[in-house]
Amino acid sequence: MPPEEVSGEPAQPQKVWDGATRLFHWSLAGLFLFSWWTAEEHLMNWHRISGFTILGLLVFRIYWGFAGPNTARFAHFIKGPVTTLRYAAGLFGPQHKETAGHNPVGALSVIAMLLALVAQVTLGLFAMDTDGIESGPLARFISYDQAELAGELHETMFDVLLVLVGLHIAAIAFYLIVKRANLIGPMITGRRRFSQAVDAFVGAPLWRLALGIALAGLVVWLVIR
Amino acid sequence: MRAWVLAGVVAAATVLAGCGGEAPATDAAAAPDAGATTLANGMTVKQQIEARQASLKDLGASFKTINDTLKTNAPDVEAIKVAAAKMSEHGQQLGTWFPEGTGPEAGVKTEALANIWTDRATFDAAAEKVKAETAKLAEIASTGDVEAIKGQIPATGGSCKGCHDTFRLKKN
Repeated sequence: MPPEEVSGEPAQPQKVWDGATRLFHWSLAGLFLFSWWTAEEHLMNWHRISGFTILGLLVFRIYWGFAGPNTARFAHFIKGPVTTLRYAAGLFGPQHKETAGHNPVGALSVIAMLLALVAQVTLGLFAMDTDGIESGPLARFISYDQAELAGELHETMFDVLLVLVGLHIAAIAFYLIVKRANLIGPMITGRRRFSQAVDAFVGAPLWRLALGIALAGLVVWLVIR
Repeated sequence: MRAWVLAGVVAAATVLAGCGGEAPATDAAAAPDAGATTLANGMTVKQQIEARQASLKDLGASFKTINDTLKTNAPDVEAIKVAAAKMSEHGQQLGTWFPEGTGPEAGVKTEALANIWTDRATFDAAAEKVKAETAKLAEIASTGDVEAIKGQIPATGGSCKGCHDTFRLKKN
């Protein structure tokens, strides 16, 4: 029974996204743009700093996908192929259920983007320009040809990311315009109003957050020293 | 329906934005004898182009070797000396690698732009800079002073860019 039918009042917004996940999301979006811009302007020191920060964010997010609040966990939103297809087919049907957090189709987008970003950062760490002037901190472990290839792949992978980001934005626009579900607000405030009963938010203790930050910091430190 | 069109347009626009226009490096001409003309130095045009490409790649690889070891806690000064000497050797010769006729018009694959020859004075000045900075790098490297070597890196790299920014084909 929808929450408003139970209490007789409109459903209250309920918590969906924790602060760390929201901060991760918007920081990543901003740094993605900053990384692109600094590369365009050939501000390579800033480009590297941006990349190292993204590396830290990705390490944190992957950890958080196992140790964070329920909506942040991969197990919570990644479903099998049958469930995912059924969800997609039922988007316009009466069976359509709202999801607290990423829905099964959105999950695909999350996986794709995280994988592509991990690949991009890794390539960047090993990349080098043709002249041997600019390079990532790990380029010294591979040959000139390999590092140059890493640099070229790093540039190509950006185009892949651009497509994924475009799809992501298109999907959000779809939910906003067609399903009349604003998913942007919840990623800022952490709260969303549902017209059905959905899973309650289950948080994660502070020490797990601290551990995640420490882990991210450790990985970045190891890479850049 | 409207939403699908909107979503499709946003996605398509993004895909198109991601596709960069690319000017391909001049392809080997259909003529099988492309680059067969002999130059004053005895090499054919094709041989000259390929020789300079190999030398320029060696310059980049040598610079990588130097930069790689400088990133570590204990830079290998001997390796730097060897690499810097190589760079200087190449740097002395660089100005001679671009004789008339070895540009894109030859039909051999090259990233050299035609303005090397139409703007020869500027190019020669840039080549002189490379000669000077690589010689300086080799000299400083021979002292074994790591801090001084590090100090000469920006000028050396800058001399490479000084030419490439203007006279080499942009990849994207």
